[in-house]
Amino acid sequence: MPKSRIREFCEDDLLDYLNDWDFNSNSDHGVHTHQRRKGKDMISAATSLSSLGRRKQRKWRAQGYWASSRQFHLPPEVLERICYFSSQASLRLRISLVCKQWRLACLRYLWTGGVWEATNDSTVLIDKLRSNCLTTLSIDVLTDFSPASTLSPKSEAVRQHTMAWRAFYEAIVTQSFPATDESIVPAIYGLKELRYNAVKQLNDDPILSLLPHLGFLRRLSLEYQSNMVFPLFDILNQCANLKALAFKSRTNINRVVSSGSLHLQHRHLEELSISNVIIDQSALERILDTCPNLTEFKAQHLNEEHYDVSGRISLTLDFDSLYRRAADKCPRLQWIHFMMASRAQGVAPLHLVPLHLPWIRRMSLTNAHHRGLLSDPWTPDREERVLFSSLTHIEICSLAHEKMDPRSLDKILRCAPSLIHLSAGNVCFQLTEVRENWDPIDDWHRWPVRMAQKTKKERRKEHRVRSKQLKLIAKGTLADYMMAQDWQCSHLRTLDISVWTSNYHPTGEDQEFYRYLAQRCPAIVHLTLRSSKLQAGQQMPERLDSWPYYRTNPQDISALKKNKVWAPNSIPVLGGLKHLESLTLIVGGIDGLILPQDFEYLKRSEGSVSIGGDQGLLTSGNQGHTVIWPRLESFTVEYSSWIVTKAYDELVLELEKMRPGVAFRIGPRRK
Amino acid sequence: MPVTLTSLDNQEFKVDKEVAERSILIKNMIEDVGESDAPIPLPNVSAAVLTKVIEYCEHHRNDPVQVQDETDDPRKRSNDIEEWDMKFMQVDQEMLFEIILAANYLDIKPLLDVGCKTVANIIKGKTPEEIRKAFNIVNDFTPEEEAQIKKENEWAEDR
Repeated sequence: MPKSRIREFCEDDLLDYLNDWDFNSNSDHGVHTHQRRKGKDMISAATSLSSLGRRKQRKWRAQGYWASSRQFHLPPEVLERICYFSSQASLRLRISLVCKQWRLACLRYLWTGGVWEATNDSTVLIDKLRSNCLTTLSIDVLTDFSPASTLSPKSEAVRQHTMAWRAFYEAIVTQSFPATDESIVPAIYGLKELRYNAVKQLNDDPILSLLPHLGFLRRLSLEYQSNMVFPLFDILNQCANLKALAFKSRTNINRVVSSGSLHLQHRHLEELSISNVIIDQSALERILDTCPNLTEFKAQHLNEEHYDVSGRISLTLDFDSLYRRAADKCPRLQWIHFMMASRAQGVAPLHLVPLHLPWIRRMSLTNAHHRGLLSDPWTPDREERVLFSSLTHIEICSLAHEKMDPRSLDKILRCAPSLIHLSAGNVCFQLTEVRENWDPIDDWHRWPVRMAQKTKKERRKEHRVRSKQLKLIAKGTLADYMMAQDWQCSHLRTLDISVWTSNYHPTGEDQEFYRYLAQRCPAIVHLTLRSSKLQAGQQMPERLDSWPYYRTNPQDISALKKNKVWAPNSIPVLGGLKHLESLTLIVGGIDGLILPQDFEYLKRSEGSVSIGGDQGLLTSGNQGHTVIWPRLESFTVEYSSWIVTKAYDELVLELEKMRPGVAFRIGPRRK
Repeated sequence: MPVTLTSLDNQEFKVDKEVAERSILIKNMIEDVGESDAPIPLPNVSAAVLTKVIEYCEHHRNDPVQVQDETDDPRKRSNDIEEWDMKFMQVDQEMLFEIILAANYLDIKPLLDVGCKTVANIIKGKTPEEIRKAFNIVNDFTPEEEAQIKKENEWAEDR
């Protein structure tokens, strides 16, 4: 067919195509209820792209249906993909209004590919429901097609659909949601994703009785407040096509029940997330046994003890066997995460996941006993290097009362050179407490080279003398250590550190650590520091020279001490991060004050001193500063809401003038 | 082993098999046909577009196969474009659409996604009229229909 002919053919047919849209063939389950193939075969093939075989797709594509002309027609699946990348506002206020073809794609995305969110709070629901009703009705009117009806007259189909919706709608308004009347089923029958948030307490929520009717459901998310028993396996058995299931409880006495027949395999299930529940080992094992295609399995905030008629029951989980089983039964796992509620005692050591599931690139470990995880906070041994070498995502957070030594963070960075994302919680910069429990003599082999070369007797003697004066000193040797360990974590793009807050005053240690991070991880793009404090708090500590990340020579330190320099704002030391695009600081604690001068470093001035260079701690001199973070796009500071906000509006305006193109936000913490 | 691709205007392109196989369509074709020196005809793609597509595939030849990472936040989704890709997509509107169509036809998912993200970014902050102008689309709504749609979506405005 000559090309010009193809074009004519396309444009004529597109008009037919708009009238003859066959929505139901969009389903990727290959189930077609009503195929209305009026007109060209090719055209209906276009709509049911995903359900056709590859050969046919190729044939259809080879016919040049979408050969370009001056006016562009994107195929519906491409338009839908564009919808996927757009915000709700864009979809509803822009894309729907462009032309009919775009509107159809938009509606189709919103309805079939998109999401239906529900809650049993009627005020929130009505709006959402109304919009969904309108969406479906618009589809019907535009396409002359209703999944609810086999009747051909358009008006009849629309009427029936409206009626079906109304029943559902009224049921919710009158709190009898969902109506047991089966008439509502057709209206929601094509649903692919459901997010249900039970706001009110219901003892026996009827949404569960509705689930078996939703044969197309692919993603289900349930959030509960009531003290119900969650029938996980029943839901899995009823919704055979489920791809993702998330269950979250807002009270911690929900029990997951493992009932239902044993032999069923849930082959479609890929993502499972349960949170804040009581679940025992056998149920977890059974999940692993019956869901062979799991790629994500998250069981978070698991409560290990609860009260029954018979008294207190405590559950212990054997992580070693769980990971073994996971490796055996679920070869497609990409992310597995078990997290106990804070009282947990039994915690899996850090290395278990990479040991049993070596292909996993992503690891989370929260509410963990940090000391047990990294026995040696200093040097990674060879085994650890091998185990961690291929991890790209790590989330680690110690128990709230057990602070994380920044050296452990340092160690993780050195163990895992391929890291892209790291988030760490409860990092404590007030290290005296951590160090008190750490005997440098017993742990001598962890110390840098020169110290280790001394005999044990010498070291013991040295230690005795020193321990009377200072808690810990490793003079001189640390610089060598720093030089010897010339490494970089050059792939790290996202870093999220949350600082352990109580009694935390910036003393320079945090600054040193951040400087160290900026040198070692130069590729950071997104940086979040939680509970960090901007305001200089305390005088420089006596023991700063014991801090391993410190690089200034001893004379400088004594000079600093003599001049009583106060610890400056620690953010400028991050100025060396050339790729930084977003910086979020969450100021924590009651005394988390912000003053306008804390943002001096963002200002541009002619006389240039490079912040983040090797200027030691004295970065805020009288000279001006150069612009830091050349690629910065967003800068956010959030604080606890009680602090007066008025002053910051002016500051933001001033900053925006200085750095146009950067979105500044200084304000109370978002919920 | 190099593979020969023939564009719409009969220009031949020799590329490595590894590069060509970024396209699922070509990969399947090669699997179907087996080892053969015969050129693969791509009658829907012009030479100019094919050059761009090959440039993309060359640059991303070593990328791992993407795991579908569906984030909840659509804004985040469309902002997440690599720098090189962003530069690569700095072409005129017609070429952008041609690349998207070619990526769709050749079944190169990452390229299609980058294209769609670029379009979604262009749409952001534009009025429907501006979008029509940008993409040369004819408004086929009647004024009544347009008013109706606006009314339906009124509630989205203050969110």
